[in-house]
Amino acid sequence: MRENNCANSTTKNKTRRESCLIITDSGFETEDYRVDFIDVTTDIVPQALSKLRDSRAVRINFANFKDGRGFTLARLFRLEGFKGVLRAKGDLLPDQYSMLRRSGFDELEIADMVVERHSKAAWLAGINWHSHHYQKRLGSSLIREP
Amino acid sequence: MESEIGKLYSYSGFDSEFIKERTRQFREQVNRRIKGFLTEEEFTPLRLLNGLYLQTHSYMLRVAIPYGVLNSEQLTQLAFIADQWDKGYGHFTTRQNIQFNWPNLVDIPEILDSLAGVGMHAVQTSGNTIRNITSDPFAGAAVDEIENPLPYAELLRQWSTDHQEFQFLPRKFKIAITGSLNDRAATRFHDIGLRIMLKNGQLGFEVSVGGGLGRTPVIGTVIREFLPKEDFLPYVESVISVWNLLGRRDNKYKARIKITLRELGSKEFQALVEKRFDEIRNTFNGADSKTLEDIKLQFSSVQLIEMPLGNYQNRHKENQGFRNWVKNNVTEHKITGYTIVTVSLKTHGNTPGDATSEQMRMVANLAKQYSYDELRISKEQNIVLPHVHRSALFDLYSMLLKAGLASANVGLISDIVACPGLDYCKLATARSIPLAKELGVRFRDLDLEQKIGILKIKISGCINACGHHHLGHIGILGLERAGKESYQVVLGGEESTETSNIGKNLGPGFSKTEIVPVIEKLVNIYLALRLDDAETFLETYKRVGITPFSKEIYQEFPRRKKNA
Repeated sequence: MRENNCANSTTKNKTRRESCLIITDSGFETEDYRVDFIDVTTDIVPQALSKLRDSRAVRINFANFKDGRGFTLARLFRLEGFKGVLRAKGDLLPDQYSMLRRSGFDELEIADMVVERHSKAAWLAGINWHSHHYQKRLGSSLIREP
Repeated sequence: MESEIGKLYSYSGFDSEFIKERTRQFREQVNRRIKGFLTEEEFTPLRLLNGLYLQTHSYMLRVAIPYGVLNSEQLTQLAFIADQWDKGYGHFTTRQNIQFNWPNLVDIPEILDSLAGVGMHAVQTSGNTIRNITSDPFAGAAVDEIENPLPYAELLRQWSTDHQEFQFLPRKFKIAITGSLNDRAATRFHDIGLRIMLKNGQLGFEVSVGGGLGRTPVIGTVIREFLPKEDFLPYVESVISVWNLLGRRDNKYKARIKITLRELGSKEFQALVEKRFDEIRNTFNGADSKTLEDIKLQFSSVQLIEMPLGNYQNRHKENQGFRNWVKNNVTEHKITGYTIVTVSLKTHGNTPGDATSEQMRMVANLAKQYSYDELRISKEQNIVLPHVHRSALFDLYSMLLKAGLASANVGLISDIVACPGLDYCKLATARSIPLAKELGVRFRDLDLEQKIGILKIKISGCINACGHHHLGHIGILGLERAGKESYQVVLGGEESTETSNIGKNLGPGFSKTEIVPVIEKLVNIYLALRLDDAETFLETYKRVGITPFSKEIYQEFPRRKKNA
């Protein structure tokens, strides 16, 4: 069973709900279902993603932490004018949080057991994502800073 | 008269801060791995992004030498690292980097700190990301240069460093850039090759994509004949952006951009790139052009002073060894009176590209004294002193001679390019270094080297082709057949821009004991066939084709028939 599967999952005839955490620049939050997310996977073609640009909230599901497509998709989606909440979901590494934010994501949804395994301190280290940032100096970033 | 040339890029405060922060992060990552927070699978790409490989016997740290340029302080520091944490030597690679083959994992953060002290690092020298940008080792000094490519290479370095979209690409990605007509950076054999061009007085780039060696050697396809220089960065970003989404992630042997190009068709790929370029171009608000201007200023300029030739002509007349060395290792400089000196790391019988700490310190001092404190590493695994006045050549030669670094063999048969092979690399299927050493000694003993003239031998220890065997005039590929090393020979590879060619297979392979005699025989066939002393091996090969070579070789080294 995948660690990041926070939705309902079935094991030995029992349905249980795993819990996820949402990581943002202000730390960890539990899901409060403020908005409904439209889910897409990283094999979506940019044209299809761009049709969602007026949505309120989109969640891009990464296949695994080596799946770098999500970063480019986020950048293109923001470029298309998407102004809503953009969330990444998947077993990513704390070291990738800054890449997510710089690419245009707002937050990361990840199983709390994965968060714990990496240690909360490692995640919090990523919150300083806007410093030491070459691309920003070159003007190639669209991302608003906090 | 004084002539000013652009020189070394000096790190800004931002660069230094970045490297410090990056080293701190890596120290944390190592701690997290040791504590078990990171699994081995998770740690692997993170350590690769910081240049740390796990080899057959040990970790290996690959240190970036951005576009192959360094100063004497940096080379001296590399010598210090070799002594302090390795076995007293380093290995210069075909991608203008240096590898330390025996460091301990616990020492790595300290090594990185000591690199940071001289503005160096190991960031993105491996992993599925944009690798060290490579360039012409003669940049800024070459006679045939349109414009110095190094500021553009530095701009690419900054832009690609820790680029948020491109740290987890489908596979590694290599970019080379040249500003000269004669392509000394093999741009057509890179994922992106950039050649500076002039069109109607405008400066720009020819962009080729999808070149590369490895198990599928391909010559890059030009997808933009002329790209105005202002569009340089957004266009490169567009290429990688398109490939990042389309590149195959299901099979690492099909993940490189050359396969994407082949599967999609180059026209379709090109159309996607142009479309992406239209989309992202405006997000570059000119800051990249401004940064380029800043970079140009940070490449401190140096005054090359006009001087008399001194005793040069007499020495040249009297001393045969010096004359040979000048002929093979010294190249004209764009400024009259100056030369470009290649220090051969191919002393006969030594490991190609290896330098001891003592040699590094020696060459660093020579660079300080004779080459305005500047050095280059070439993809042929030699060290270049780019700005040496002709009047200093004899003194320089004499010092190199004492240090055992005066081999007058640049471009000759013993100037062999070889990957580390089975002696170090866990991917290798055969040894390449012992073969390179043996060939070097053999042709020295035959005393044929100068007579043979230009002949490039390149040896790879497996099909991944790190020794660039496809591009050798004679290329050797080491394989494993039924538990034994077997060497395939390819002929006629070359990497100049006008005539890029991938070598052609001679036929069935040869055993470890046969391969040196086979190469010797190939050379003798050439010597018998050439029209005159001036006709090089490659020219003869092109004139007569592969058959005269293969026919004679397999007569003397018959292969058993499969069913015999």
